[in-house]
Amino acid sequence: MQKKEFSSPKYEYSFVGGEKNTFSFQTINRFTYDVTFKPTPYLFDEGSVYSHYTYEFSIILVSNTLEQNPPFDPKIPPTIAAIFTDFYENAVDTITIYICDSSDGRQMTRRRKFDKWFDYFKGESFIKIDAKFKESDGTQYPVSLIIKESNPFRTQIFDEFLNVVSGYNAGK
Amino acid sequence: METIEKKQLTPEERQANVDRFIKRWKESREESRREAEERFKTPEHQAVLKELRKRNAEKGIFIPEV
Repeated sequence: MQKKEFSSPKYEYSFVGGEKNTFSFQTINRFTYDVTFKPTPYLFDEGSVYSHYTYEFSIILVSNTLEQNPPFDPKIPPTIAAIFTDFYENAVDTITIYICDSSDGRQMTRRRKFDKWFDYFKGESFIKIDAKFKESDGTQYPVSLIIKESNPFRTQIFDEFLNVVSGYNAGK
Repeated sequence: METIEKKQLTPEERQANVDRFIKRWKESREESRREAEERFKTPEHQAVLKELRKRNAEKGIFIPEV
């Protein structure tokens, strides 16, 4: 849970719902974002006990009124943090994965940005492990897995995750 | 105690697993993007955004309508 005071207030957001557990917010520059937690049972083996707790976290830029890369907005990190914490409040056993899109070659920028966001909300409650998927064409996809620090199965979850990343039991 | 042995995958099989996962993830991500863009256009979602602008304004964050 986020404890420290943010230097910038967060935007108001709304839980839109749906099967992807969508949250929506709009920025002062009228960028509209969807933040989703999509059930991702295929990350682990289908028989894994963790499959039903696994969600993929995505941040989707839905409307870009400036038609350029959004400038830095200090209100976004606390907004993302609040949404993340909000989702976990109702599902403490959630296992979240975040995969950085590599289609435009900016995956490391996304990783750094996500790491900064994570710093906003990790407190002492969340832990994260980082890895990379490596596609056969050499493209790398930074991926993070986040769980509550209090999750009693954290060691097993991290072990399974590293197996997935190395291809031992990726979704079939 | 019974021991369950996992099949030892070859490097090629492991890579194929990763490639399948990435392919599935890309397809799912594109589908999510399409759905989000469609939802954005609906009157219901525009009403949600209007309400958010109102709530933001109450905090001193003014988001222009157009």
